[in-house]
Order: sequence, then structure tokens, then C-alpha cells
Amino acid sequence: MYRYFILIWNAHDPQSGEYAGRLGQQLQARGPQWQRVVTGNSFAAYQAGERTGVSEWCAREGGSVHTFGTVFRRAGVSDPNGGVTNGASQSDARHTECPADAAAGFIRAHWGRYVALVTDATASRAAIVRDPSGMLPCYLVNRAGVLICFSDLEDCIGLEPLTFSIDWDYVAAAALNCALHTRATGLKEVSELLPGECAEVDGERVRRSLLWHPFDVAQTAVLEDTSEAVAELRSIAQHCVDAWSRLHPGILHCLSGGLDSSILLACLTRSRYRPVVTCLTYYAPGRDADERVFARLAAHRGGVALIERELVAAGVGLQRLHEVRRSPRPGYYLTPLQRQRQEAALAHWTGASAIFSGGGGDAVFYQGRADLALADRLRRFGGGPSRCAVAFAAARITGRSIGSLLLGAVRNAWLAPSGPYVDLKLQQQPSLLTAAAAASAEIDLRWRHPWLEDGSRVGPGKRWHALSLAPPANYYDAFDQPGDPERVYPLLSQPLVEVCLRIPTDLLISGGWDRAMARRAFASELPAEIAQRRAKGGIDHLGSRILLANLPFVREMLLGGLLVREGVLHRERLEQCLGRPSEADQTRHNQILHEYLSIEAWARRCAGLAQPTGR
Amino acid sequence: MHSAWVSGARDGKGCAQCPPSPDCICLHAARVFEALHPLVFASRNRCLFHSLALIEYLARHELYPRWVFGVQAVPFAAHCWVQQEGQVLNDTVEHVSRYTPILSI
Repeated sequence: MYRYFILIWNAHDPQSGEYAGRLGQQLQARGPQWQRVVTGNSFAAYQAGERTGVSEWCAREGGSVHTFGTVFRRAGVSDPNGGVTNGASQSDARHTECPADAAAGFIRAHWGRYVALVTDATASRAAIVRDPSGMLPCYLVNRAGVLICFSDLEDCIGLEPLTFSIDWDYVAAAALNCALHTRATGLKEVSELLPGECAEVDGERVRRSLLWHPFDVAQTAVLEDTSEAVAELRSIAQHCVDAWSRLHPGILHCLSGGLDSSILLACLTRSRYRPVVTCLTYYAPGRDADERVFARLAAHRGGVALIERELVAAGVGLQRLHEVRRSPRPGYYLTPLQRQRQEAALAHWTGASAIFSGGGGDAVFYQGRADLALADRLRRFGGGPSRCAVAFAAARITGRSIGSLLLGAVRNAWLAPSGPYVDLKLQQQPSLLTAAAAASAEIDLRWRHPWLEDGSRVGPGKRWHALSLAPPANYYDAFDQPGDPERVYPLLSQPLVEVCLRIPTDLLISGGWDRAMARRAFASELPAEIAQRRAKGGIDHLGSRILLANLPFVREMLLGGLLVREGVLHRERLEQCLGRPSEADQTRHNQILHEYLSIEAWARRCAGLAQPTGR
Repeated sequence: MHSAWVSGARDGKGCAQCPPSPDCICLHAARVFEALHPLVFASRNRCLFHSLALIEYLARHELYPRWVFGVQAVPFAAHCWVQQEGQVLNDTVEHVSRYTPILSI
């Protein structure tokens, strides 16, 4: 997988320059896979695992912008390749005195999955910017006057004298809210550069600024006309899929049979670059866990092959949790445990260079809070469905009464403008957390996303829409191995996200359908059975079976683990919970236990990083 | 107003594509009910009440569909819905197909 490592320091501080030099030497000593690609008075950059024409370093704008990853030119900007370029290019960014200004110009003119190093005309000041999709990770460590910017924590481990210690307050917050995502990470020394954010080194200081804000996008050129919104959504979705599919002649597509993955398949089969697509769908015992009929309909409609794989609890050994990739924050590892190696093997077998997924589509197209969409409509004075129509649409989706919805909408629209920061906090069985952990997790403003600092300028539904897009898709999987294919999430592409942000939430639920505009945009390409699905199955009970099949391991991990020792989880309540496993009525409980298992596995893997260590 | 809509269906005025068979009238009436019932009550997690209310509403128009109860073994769940012959009137076929009918009234 592609990785980068960027160092920025004060050009007038020789000591920090020497330290940066030593870090670079240590990195390159690990093997020829690490190449130094950029060097300057105050910066140096390295890359590994590049795939030519797909994920790589590229110098642009006369050498003032260095991109790492995949970059496309924005539609509407003249380009003979139709918007796809990973070669040197000229754009709106020019040599300026301020790297942050140049970075802002660059992300306006481009999209993709990248991080950019931007320098001023004299190459003495530099800034890092992460593209607004955030699909390529970007973490920062500030040490001895050097700003270290990297994509993969594993590359930092063993570099002297970097050590990392677990932030247990963050861990408690993550245990309470699995959707938590902000600058802070689970390691005290590491922060994340958020999507669309810029970090500029100016002398001794590091200044951070948001160059892209979803609320700005949502208030620009609002698409209030349904026909216009549908047409633009469809056009941009196809454009984004075209761009990604041009890079991958062979694609393994994870097709669940749901709306989002089916829309992506429809775009892939209509791509002008005509990639060879093989679909993969999973099923498990149980009527609600077997959606092969929908996957088959979509695959047949697209004229593509479909591989069907059964997921069985007996084949999943949780012991592999001891091997998860070390990262700045914990992930959820049950899904990659079940699928990742299988998908990598199938990709190799089918000749696919990438695994595509419709992941994120439910957030982009708005499969969310229909009640908050009503609140938005009450606040909004403009075209679109009437408030009465939106109320009935929200009732159809939520199953709530009109009266209840209107009361809630009035409260959310005007009386509780600080939400939905609180609304995103899932009720995850706080009773398994200790009182101290739950209290610290709730009140700490470090967990408040920076986008919410001026949250009241958009309605609660659009706030919720934006925040549901905040956690970026994973680029590195928990059990990655060298040579694994890349994972691509085309529905999270910046141009498509921006189109959907510009559509008012009441349009996004029009007619009483979630993801209403996406359904309309692709109605002619999708089987009617998929376009009109209101619910989707799930394999939650498979997780319960896996838990029961590995119960002794689960007990040892949790009862004897760091989360209990550090006072995050309540041991007695946990013991009671684990002492009465019952698949029939514990599905939701068992899902939460899987989340805690993932956090425990992450903590055990990272606990040793507090001491200088070899790899 | 809702009675006029249902009566219109009986008289063949509400449905241009099909003759006013009892199944068609029943489906039309159920759609009217589904559209308007949020003005009166919530249906989320209230399948029993929802179905009973629909049954009572249709009975006032001399329409008598079946009330079906089903269960799912793993994970255990119970659900009920109203259907007229093969038409599910207050749910989706995809959802009810997850349950095994155990009682039909």
C-alpha cells in the first residue's frame, strides 16, 4: 500500500534540520522501498509502495506543490485527459508568498485521494494540506522542532526517539461514541490533520486552518430544484466513477445488493473506460442475512460476474486481533477479520488491481435523520417541497406521528441549535463504562469537531449530514499485507460529496424515501426491487455467533485487559454480561462487546509504544 | 375526505388501471390509511396497534383482509401485518418475508 512521510522544520534552526536528517536516514535504512522524492531548505519527503499512475508523488506548479496519492483535475478545468491527471500540471495555484493560500487554490482546482506539500516561492516556508475527502490518512507529530507528517503509524515506530502513549480519556470517549472523529487521536503525541485542513510551519509555530468547510459548500449554489439536483448528482457521480475506473482496468466490486453498491455498479458498467468488473457478495445463515437475490438482480442488470461467499462463525478466530495494524486510533476489526484476506485473494485471482465499495453512500446520499430534515425545512425559506409534504415524508420514513415530528423539528430548528453534536453520540450501553469514564467522555470539548464551532449557520439536518461524512474511509485495513490491492470508495469523492451537501435535506428525503435524489437519479439503471428497497438486512447475529464461539478468548481479553485496568470498563458489570451469553436476545449487546474487543486489541498493540522500541 | 377516496375507488373512479375488484379497493383504501395515519398515531415499533387500526378502518368499509402474525427464530423476533391475498398492506414484502407466519386471522 502507498505510504508517505514528510518532514518540515524551521530553516533557521540547524538542530531541527539535523534531527530531520537523522529521521530521514533511519527511514531509508529500512530498505529500498523508501525513496526520498523531495528535499529543500526546510522540508523533505519520502514515499513507499507507489503504483505508477495511480498512487504516487508528483511535482506540480513549477515545483511549489508536491502531491502524494491520487489527484484529478476538477471538472470544467481544461484537461485533454478529461479531468484525470496524475502528471505534472498547472492549475489555479501559483507561486505565492503564503503556502496556505496556494494550498487553498490547489484543492479548489483538484480532487482525489491525496496529501499535498505546498511551499512558497523561496522554498523556505511549507504547509501540508489534506484533500477534503480525507481518503488518504494524514497524522502529525511535532517533535524537536520538526513537524512529522505521515500516513501510517507503523512507519514511525522504531524511529528514534519517537514514543507514543495512550490517551485514556480519548479511549473512554471512543468507547462511548464509536463515531468520534476529531483532531485528537488515541495517542497523546499524535494529532490528525482533518480533511480539508492545512498545517503551515511558520518559524517555531505550526498554524492550522480549515481550507474546506462543508457548511460553506452547503450554502453555495444551493440546488433547490429537484430536476436540477437529480441531473447534477447523476452527472457528477458518473464523472467520479469514470475517473477512478480509468486507473483500474480490473475491479473487484463489493456488491451487497443495497442501493449504494448497486448505484456504484451501474456507474461502473457505464464507465467510458470499460473496466472489467467482478462482483462479490456475502451471505450468512438467516433470512435477513441473505441478500443474494438483490445482488444477483444488480449483477444481471449490469452484465457482470458475481461471486457469492458464505460467512460462517466457525471460520473466524478472534485470536488474530493480536495482530491488528497499529494506528493512532482504534478501529472496528470484526468486518476485516471476516473478509479482508478473502477479498485480497479474490482480487488477485480475478486480476483486479483495486477493491471498490459503495461504502459511505448512505451518508453522502442522506440515509439519516428525516426528522432533522423537517427542522431544516422549517428554517429554510426557498423552493422545494412544502413543509407539509416534508412532514409527511419524514413520517413515512421514521414511523413517527406528525405531531411528534413537528414538536421535535421546532425544538431542533430553534431551541437547541448546538445539536446534533449530542445526537451523534450513540447510546452504547454506558452502563458497562465506569462512571468516571462516562463523565470524562461526555464533557470534554476536545471531542467536539471543529466544524461545529460555527454550527448554527446551517440547519440541524445539514449539520448531521456533514458530520456523518466526517470520519474518513479507511485506507489501510487492519490486516493489510504487502501487495494487497487498494480499496476505493468512489461515492466519497469530493465532487459528489459537495453536490449532495448543496442539496437541501428536505429534498434528500422527498416523497418519503431516504436517499431520494440518488434513487431518482439512477432509477432507470437499477432493478425496481433495489430502487424501492426501504430496509436492508444485516448480519449482526453472525457477530453474536462469533462471540459465543470465542467466549473464553473474549473473557480473557476484556476481563483481564487494559480497558478494565485503566478504569474505562466496569469489571463486575462486564463479568455479568459475559456470564449470560444468549444469542437470541443479546445481538445488540454482543455488537457492543465486539467494539470493546476492537478497542482492547488496539490498546494492547499500542501499549508498548511508550518505550523506544525496535520494529 | 378519506371515505370519499375509498368510495371513489369502489365506483371505479380512483384507479384507472384496474377494475374495482375487492383486492384493488382494499389496496387503495390501505394506501389512504397509510398516508394519513401519521396525523393520528406513530407506527414505529407498534405493529400490533398499527395493524389493528388498519383492520378496524378497513372493516368500516366492509373490507376484511387477513391479520398475520409471524416469528423469526434467530435472533428471536415477532411481528404482525395485514395482507389481502398476496398483497401486504402495511409493510413491505421484503420485511415480512423474514418472518414465518404462525397465525392468520
